[in-house]
Amino acid sequence: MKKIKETKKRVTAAILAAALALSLTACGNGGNAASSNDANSGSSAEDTANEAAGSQENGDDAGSDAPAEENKERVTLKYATFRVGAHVMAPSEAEILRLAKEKFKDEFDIEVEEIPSDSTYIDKMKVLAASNDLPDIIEGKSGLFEIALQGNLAVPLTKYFEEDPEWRAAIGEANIAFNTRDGEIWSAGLSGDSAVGYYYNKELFAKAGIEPAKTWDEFFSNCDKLKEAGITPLSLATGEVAYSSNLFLAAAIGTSSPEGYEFMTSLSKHNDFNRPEVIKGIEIVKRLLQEYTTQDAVGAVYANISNNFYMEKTAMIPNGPWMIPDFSNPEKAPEGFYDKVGVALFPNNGMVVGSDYGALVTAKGSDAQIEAAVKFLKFLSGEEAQKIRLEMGSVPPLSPNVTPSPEFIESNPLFADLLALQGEAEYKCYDMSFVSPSNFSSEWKTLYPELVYDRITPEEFALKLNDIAARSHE
Amino acid sequence: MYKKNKLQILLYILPTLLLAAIIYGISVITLVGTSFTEWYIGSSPRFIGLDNYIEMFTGRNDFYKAFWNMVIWIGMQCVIHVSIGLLFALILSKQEWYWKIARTVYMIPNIISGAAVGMLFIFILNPEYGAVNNIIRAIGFKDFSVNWFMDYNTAFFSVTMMWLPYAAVPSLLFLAEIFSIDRALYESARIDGATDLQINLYVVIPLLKNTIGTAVILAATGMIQKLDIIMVTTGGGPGNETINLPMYIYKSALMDNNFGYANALGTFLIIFGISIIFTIRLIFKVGQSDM
Repeated sequence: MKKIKETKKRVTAAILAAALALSLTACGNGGNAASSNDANSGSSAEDTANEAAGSQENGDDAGSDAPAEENKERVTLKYATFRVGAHVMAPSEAEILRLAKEKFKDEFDIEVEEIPSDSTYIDKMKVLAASNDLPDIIEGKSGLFEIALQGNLAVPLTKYFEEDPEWRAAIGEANIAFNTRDGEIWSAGLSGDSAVGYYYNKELFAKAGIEPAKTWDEFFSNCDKLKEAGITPLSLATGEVAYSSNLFLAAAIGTSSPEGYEFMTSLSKHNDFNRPEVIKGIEIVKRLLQEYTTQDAVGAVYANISNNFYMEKTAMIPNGPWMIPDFSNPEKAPEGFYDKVGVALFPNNGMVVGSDYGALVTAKGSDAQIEAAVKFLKFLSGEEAQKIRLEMGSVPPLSPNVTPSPEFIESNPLFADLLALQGEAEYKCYDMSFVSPSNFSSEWKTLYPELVYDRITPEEFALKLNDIAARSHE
Repeated sequence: MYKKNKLQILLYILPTLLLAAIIYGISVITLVGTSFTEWYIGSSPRFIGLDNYIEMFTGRNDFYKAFWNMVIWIGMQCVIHVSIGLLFALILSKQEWYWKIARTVYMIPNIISGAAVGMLFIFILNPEYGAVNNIIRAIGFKDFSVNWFMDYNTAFFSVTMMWLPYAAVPSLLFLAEIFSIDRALYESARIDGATDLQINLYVVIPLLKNTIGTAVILAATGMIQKLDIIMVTTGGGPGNETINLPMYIYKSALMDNNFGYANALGTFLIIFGISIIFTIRLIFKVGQSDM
């Protein structure tokens, strides 16, 4: 009896162990088998695409009698966006996505992943590029364009542009040329060339008795007068990708000399920053960060510094037209704030501009998946979406057919002022992300503190930039 | 008997072996293998021998700073963090009226994710509106302003304070072990006239030797993996002041797109981690009976 019991125990234990081993094997396979519409699922779209591809292949091979349409799995596109939450372009993005889902509801699904900031988006896309698991459409900003091309992760769009002259016209030849490499078009711009100067608080300027500066000397003099009036002159940040600090750096380099202008208008990625014009620009930004900004500038993020400007703690903030809607957003700025804001060029008639790398199709798998991704990209970059970005986000359009309505211009004089300044600007320089390798984006936030706390000189800062450029593989 | 059960034993450990082989074995082999290659996104790995290791030890890079920061944090975590946990456990073991609530409250920082803790500290230590600076200003230092995470004088300290004092895990381990000690030992010590301090020093702590070893291993390995909280707060800066090896690996792989070099760093980290665990086990003779 005892022996039987013991044998039973052993058999049960052995069966359980075998079951556990089998379940582990099953776990490893489950990801592929599972079909999910979960918006947060990292693999669902890929799975669906693979299934679609698989079923298509099987259908062809087997010579199935069933109509091809019945065998097709519904395509699900993965799309990630950082224009969410408090992002200045969140409302326009939400509207565009709502319309896209409505338009394509009978053709394919769109899964949207919300990523909380630009820098997080860039980091995450780099991670996904490394594991060949990018969403079906990604943006090309901050080096993602080059990474996608290097990794053979992008779908060339030339034939789609050739087949659709309307789309080509909506994007425009200038942007198409900007996003063409080796004779292939790789991405479609989402917005026209951005024009970036700085916004200033007219009341605070009046209190200090100043007008927007024409030269860098005058600019520093203005900053001193603001300080004397008890006002912190500038909103600057070195956190995230240090965008605001780098706008001043780009303007300072680009307006310093003909060499500086040439440096900041070249689209090639530089690897030598140890130049007098760059060092001079670094000196200017160092002075601004040390003497004329808030205590939290080093390490601060956009949310901090924009809030300082809205709350009238600072008198100036550099940024693009997409910030304009927030000046009248009651959730961000006090009532009547919009009327207090003016816009100006950087000293020496400088403006920072940027062509848009736009978005690339990085879909893989079946033709159906890629076709769906291209359709979605056409919508994202098309005239309807451009119009929404313009009217809701003050983003300049690409297409000449998309013009601001008279009501928009009337209710948005700042945007009109900015457009006028664009015509007046003598030096239009690219921002730093256009002239530096993509690995710079994560280094600014650790480099600037060294400069501000006098651990390194501007010359050493430039040499460190060279070191970072040397580590790049673009 | 042993021979008879060999097959059965093998069957029992088979799932674990399979799991280890699938999840860790293949990954580690790939990691070590590609550490001898030049490998970027879009390129196939190209064998370059020991170049990545030579670059690691002799190149102009952040390796030594990242390594020493990690070693300092491991040392602090093993000594200070575990000591705080031990002290807390000894106090709670008296089972005064507050012990249950104190145990629960102390656990809270450990159940919040590292990223959330990082965000919390970013707000608390913000130079403009953060609680710490404002409290210091409120008590009379009106012009006080320190950028805790970005100032060279305070960055390392600020990052360290995000994890060093919160020793709930070791304190729970110690508490469980203390409660399992035979009460007769306490009684005997008291009969011999020992004070509470003497009982703790000469009876309790020696009996916790194995658990202390385990807690030290957990503390050290926790520091070897530390990444999220640094990434959220300082990103390794200012400069390279708060960088550690995991952060350096992350930057090398995903920012510099240099996977071969990052995998050489990863291989070094694994070897270092295993060495640390064996050293701690040797020091504390973990697993050997005290009786």
